[in-house]
Amino acid sequence: MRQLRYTLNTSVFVALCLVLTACDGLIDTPAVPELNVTSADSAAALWQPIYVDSIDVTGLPDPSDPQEGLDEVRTLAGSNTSIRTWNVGAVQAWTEITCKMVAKYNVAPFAERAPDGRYTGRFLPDPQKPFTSPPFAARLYAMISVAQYDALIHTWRLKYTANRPEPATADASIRRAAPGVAMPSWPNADAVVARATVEILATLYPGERATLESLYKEAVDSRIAAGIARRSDVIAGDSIGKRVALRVLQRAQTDKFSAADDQPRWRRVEPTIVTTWPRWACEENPLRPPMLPFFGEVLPWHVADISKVDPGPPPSESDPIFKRDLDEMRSINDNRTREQVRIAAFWEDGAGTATPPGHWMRIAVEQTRSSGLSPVRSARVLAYLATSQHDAAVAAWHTKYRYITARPCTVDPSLRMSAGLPNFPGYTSGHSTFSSAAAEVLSHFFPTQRASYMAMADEAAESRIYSRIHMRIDCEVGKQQGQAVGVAAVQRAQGDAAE
Amino acid sequence: MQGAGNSVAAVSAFQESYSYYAVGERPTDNTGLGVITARGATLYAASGVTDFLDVIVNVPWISTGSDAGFWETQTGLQDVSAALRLRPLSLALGSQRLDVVVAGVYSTPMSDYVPDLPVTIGHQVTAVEGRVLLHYVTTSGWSFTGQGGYLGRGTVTVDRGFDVDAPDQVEFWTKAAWGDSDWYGDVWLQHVVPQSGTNIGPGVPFPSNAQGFTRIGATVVRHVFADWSVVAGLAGTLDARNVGYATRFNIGFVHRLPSWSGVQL
Repeated sequence: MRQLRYTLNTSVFVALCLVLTACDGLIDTPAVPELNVTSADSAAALWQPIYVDSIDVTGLPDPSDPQEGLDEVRTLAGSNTSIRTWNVGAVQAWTEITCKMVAKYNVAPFAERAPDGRYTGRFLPDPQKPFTSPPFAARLYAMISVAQYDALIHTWRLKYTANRPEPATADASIRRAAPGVAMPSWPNADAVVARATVEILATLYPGERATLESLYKEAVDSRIAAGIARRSDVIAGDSIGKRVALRVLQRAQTDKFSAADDQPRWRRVEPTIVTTWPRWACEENPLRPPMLPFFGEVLPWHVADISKVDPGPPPSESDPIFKRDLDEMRSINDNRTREQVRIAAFWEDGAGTATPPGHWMRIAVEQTRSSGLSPVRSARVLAYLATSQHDAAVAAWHTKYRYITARPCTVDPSLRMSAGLPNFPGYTSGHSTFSSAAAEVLSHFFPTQRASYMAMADEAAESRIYSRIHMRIDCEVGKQQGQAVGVAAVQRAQGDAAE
Repeated sequence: MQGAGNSVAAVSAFQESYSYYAVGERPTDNTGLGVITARGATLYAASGVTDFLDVIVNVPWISTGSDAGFWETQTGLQDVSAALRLRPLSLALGSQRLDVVVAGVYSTPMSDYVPDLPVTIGHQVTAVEGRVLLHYVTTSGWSFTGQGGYLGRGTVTVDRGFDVDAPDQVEFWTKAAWGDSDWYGDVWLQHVVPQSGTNIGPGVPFPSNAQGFTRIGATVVRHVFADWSVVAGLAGTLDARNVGYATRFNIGFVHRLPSWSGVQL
C-alpha cells in the first residue's frame, strides 16, 4: 500500500487582471538601432506647419560665433554614457516615451467601495492620473506630434538662416558620436522635440514632470557630448519647443475636450435617441458611465465637418445584415481558431497599453527609422498619422453616440469574448476606424508599403470580430469611415510643400 | 520510491476555485469575473526502474472559466511533466530509515493554449525543476518529508507579439504521513516564492507575473480491492501573491499495475 504514496503536481495557476494598478518602469532604455539619417531635408524650412504658422523668435541665444560653447562639448564628450541611447532619433524616442506614458495611464478610474465592500456607484478619477482612453490618447499623440513637427519646421527655418556649424564641424578635434548627416546646429532639433513633448506630457500628467525633466536633461546633454550641439543650441531649441507647445496647449483648451465627458448632459440626450437596432447598455459591474459621450464634438485637425464622415445608422434588427452578422458572431463563438484568437490579442491594445493609435504610432516610428528619415520628415509622418488618429476618434465617437448600438454580448448574452469589453457603443468600430485612417496616411508617405498597411488595417478590423467585440458591420463601416478621415489628412499633407 | 518493476497509474479529477485573488500581495475581488473555477483531470503514472530510480509522467487536462462577465472558457491539455526520481542514499537509523531523494522534472505545454488572459489554463512555458527530498520513515507507519526545489522557467511568446520571461520559482514543501495496508493519509504545506516578475496590472502580460503562495492540504487514500485504491484531497491557500486564494478538491483512483522485472543492477 505504501507504493501508493505519490504526489500529483497539478497546481493550476490561474491569474487574472482587471484590477487597475499602473506598472512601473515608464521609460526603459530604447532597445532599438541608432537612427541613420540620410538627408538633412534643408528644404523643410519652406514647409507649411499644421497648426503653428509662426512663432516669436526673439530672445534666442546668439548663434553667430561658431567657437562659442565648445569647451563644454569637449568636457561632456569624455564622460557621457547616454549618447547611444539618444542616437535612436529624438522624434522616435520621444514618441516611444509618449506611448509608454499612455500605457501607464490607460487605466480606468477605480470603482469606489464602502467599508462593507459594496460599490458606491462613484468612480475615483485622479486629476494627477487622467484616464488615457483611446480617444484621450489619440488627442494626446496628435498634440505632441503636431508640436514636434511644427516646431521642427520653425527650427529648420532658423537653422538654414543662421547656418551655424555643428561643434564637430567647427572644431576638427571634436569627434561626432552620432550617425547621420551633419546639419546646422542652432537650434538643436533634439531639444526642440524633447521640450515640446515634455511640456505637453507634463501638462496632462503633472506627476511626471520630474521624471520627464530628468530624461530631457539626459537627452540634451547627450547631444552636446555627441558633438552635434552646444549649450546655446540646446537653449534655443528648448525655447522653440516650449513656445510651440504652449500654442498647441492653448488650442487644446478650446477644442471642446473638456466637455467630452459631460455625463449629466448625456443622461438628458440619451433618452431622446430613437433606435431600430439593439441599444447599447453598459455590461460592467458595477455600472460605469459611458466613456466620453461627447468626444464626437471635439475639434478635428483635418476633417472640416465631422458629420460628413458619418456613415448613417446601422442596420435595424430586421435587416438581413443584422442576422448575418449575429450568425457570424455565434459561429466564431463556437468555432474560433487559434489563429483568430492570436489576431484578436495582437490588435487588442486594451487597458495598460499604448491604445490602437499608439500601436500605429509605433509602426510608423519603425518605418521612419528604417527609412532613415530626417527629424523633420519623421515628425511630418507622425504628425499626419497622429492627427488622423485624433480625427478618427472624433468620427467614430460621433457615430457611436449618435446611434448607441449594442455590443454583440448585449444582443446575445451567451456570447463570450477573448478581449476586454470596452464601455461604449459598438457602431462604428474604433479599431477599424483608427486602422484604416492610419493605413491610408502611411500608404501616402510610404507607397511601396501600401498593400502591407492595408492588410494590417484589415486584420485589425477583423480582430474585433474574432474577439466578438464587434459585429462585422461595425468594422466594415468603420473602415470606410477611417479611410475618409485618412484621405482628409493626406489631402492636407499634399498641400504642405513637403511632397 | 516504487521499487524495481513496481508501477502505479492514477486518474484524478479536480476542481479549484476562488473569488479573491492577490494583486501583488493585496487581496481583491472583481465583480467582472466573479468566481474563477478550474476543473480538470490528470493522468499520472510512476514506475520503478530500479529500487532507487523512478520514472514519473503526469498529464493534466483543464477547463477554466468565470461565472461573471463575458470571458470565454479556456479548455485543453496543459503541460506534460516527466520526472526522474533518484534515491542516492538510504540510511538505516535503528529501525527507522532516512532516504535522500533527488528529482529532476521537465514540463512543457502539450497544446497551443492561450497563456495571456485573465482566465487561462496555464502559462505556456517550458520549465525544468530540480528537487531534493529528505524522507524519514518509521516502523509505526509514520513518515515525514521535507523538500526544496528550484523551478527554472523559460520565455513565453504572447499573442500580443513579444516574448516575456516567466519568473523562476523556489519551492519548499513538507509533509507528514501515516499509512498501513489499507489506509494512507497525509497533511502537507507548500510554499512557493517567485524569484522575479511583475504584479498583475493593466497591460502586464500574465505569464510575467511573480506568482507565489502558501498552501496547505491533506490527502487520504483508501485501498478498496485488489490493486485499486481511491484517493481524495483537499487544499486551501493561506497566502497568495498574484494568484487566487484557491480552494481545491480532488478525487481519483489509483491502480497498481502488473509488475515487471525492472532493471537489475
